Amino acid sequence: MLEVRNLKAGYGAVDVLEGISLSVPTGACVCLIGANGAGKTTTLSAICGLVPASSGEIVLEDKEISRLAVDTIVRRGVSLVPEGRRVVANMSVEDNLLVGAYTRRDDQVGADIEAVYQRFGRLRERRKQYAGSMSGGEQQMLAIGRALMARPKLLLLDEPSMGLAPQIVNDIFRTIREINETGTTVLLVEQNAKKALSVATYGYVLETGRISFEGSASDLLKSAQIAEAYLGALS
Amino acid sequence: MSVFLQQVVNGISLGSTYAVFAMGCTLIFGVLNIVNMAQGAFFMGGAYFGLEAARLGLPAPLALLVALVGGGVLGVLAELVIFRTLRVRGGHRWMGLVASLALARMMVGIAQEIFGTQVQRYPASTLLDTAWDIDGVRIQLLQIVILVVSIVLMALLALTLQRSSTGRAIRTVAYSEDVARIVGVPVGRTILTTFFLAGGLAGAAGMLLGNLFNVVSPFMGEQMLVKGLTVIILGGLGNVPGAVAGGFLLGLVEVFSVAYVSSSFRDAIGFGLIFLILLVKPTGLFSRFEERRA
Repeated sequence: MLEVRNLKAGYGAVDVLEGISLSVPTGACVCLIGANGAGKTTTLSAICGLVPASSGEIVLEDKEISRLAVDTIVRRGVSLVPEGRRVVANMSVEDNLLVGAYTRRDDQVGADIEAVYQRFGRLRERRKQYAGSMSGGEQQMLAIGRALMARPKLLLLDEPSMGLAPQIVNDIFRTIREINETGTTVLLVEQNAKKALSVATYGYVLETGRISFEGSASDLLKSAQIAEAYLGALS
Repeated sequence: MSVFLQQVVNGISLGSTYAVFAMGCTLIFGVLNIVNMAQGAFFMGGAYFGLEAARLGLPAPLALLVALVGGGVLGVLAELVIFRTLRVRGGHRWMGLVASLALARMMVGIAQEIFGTQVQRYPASTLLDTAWDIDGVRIQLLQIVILVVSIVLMALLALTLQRSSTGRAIRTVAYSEDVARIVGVPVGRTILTTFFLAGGLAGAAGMLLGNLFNVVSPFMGEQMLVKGLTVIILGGLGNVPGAVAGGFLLGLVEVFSVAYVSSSFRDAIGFGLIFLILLVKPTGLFSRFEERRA
């Protein structure tokens, strides 16, 4: 589905990413873990075109996308659930979902909204409410629902557990697994490495702009090095 | 009593044109957060577009359409030439203010050159001169038509913003350009659409006010810009219903101060009252609806 090769990207003159390569096979759930400031968000931003790549390749379904505008990349099937959720606070829940379908011109939008409400019953209850009036967990559900409204082939999730209560985090991760199991490819960025590796089958560890380690989720969980660096504080 | 009612009728028809203009202003200043000093010049441009169309023999509804589209095109050009260029090059927002002020002055100069500084009037055939006298209150058909047209324009804008895909895109861009990009909204094109709508409303308001007083002059836009700014601050920046209410309020206040005090005190009273309101309620009259921003 997605191949990133030797990607360098950043803000202004300084590259945050110093040449990273990663691969997300079709149907897989891959995670990218690492400390604050390692470049996880920058990686996702570069994939969906929000941050320009200064060199390297981003290939989606055998086509280079690193020079395309964000809305074109969304049309090609990449949706981002951004860090901090970023729902439109002064718009209703339903309008947030509808704007998620902005790139679509088919007649299935209504049916997909219904599907999001099936998945997240709370959103149906609050459909007329301002998105900004909801709790963090509900906003996270909305952010995921909004991304699904574009019917993505590849879903990018940036720190979906951030700032949420443990029970809500469990719900969110169960949802991510369900989304992946119904055929959507997922690339997940998380600081909560243990949680991330419980849904992902393969993982990359990002350290100050470089991939320092990669392997299957079970290998990463077993690795003493990873355990020390990222799991220790959480286990 | 009849003097009072007469002023209510006059104030509402005048206020409706202010409301249409102010809605355009609130889209640009409040929703997009862009300071566009040429908004009054689009108003003046629209009045001339409508005037020329009427002189060519077009019926009034078509002339209004010409004014609306003409104003919209001016808005689009201002965005493309000034605001987009400055955004791409990282210009400070004050530069947009100065550049659009320059554009407004240029347009006034061009209008003076083409049409002269003399006040121009619509051909008699465009104007509706029917009027009724009800218990000493004179109601012109023109006033009613202007009110109805204004209400239709306001309703169309409100529907566009609330119910259409484009409207949701505009609201999303207003909230955050990054969020808009993430969901696949083409930000540049959406801003362009907003400029077309705002310029169109200004142009239509120009023709409506030009008809109401049957006066078109190159300088009519400058006063109007100040009024538009006042009304949108009064109504709460970025608040469309607030802009409409503020427009009607300003129209009524002006008309009443002319009737009961003196025409030379019109602006002193009108703006004085607004000054007072803002001192008491600095976020505008309708701050209850004030939207939270990212």
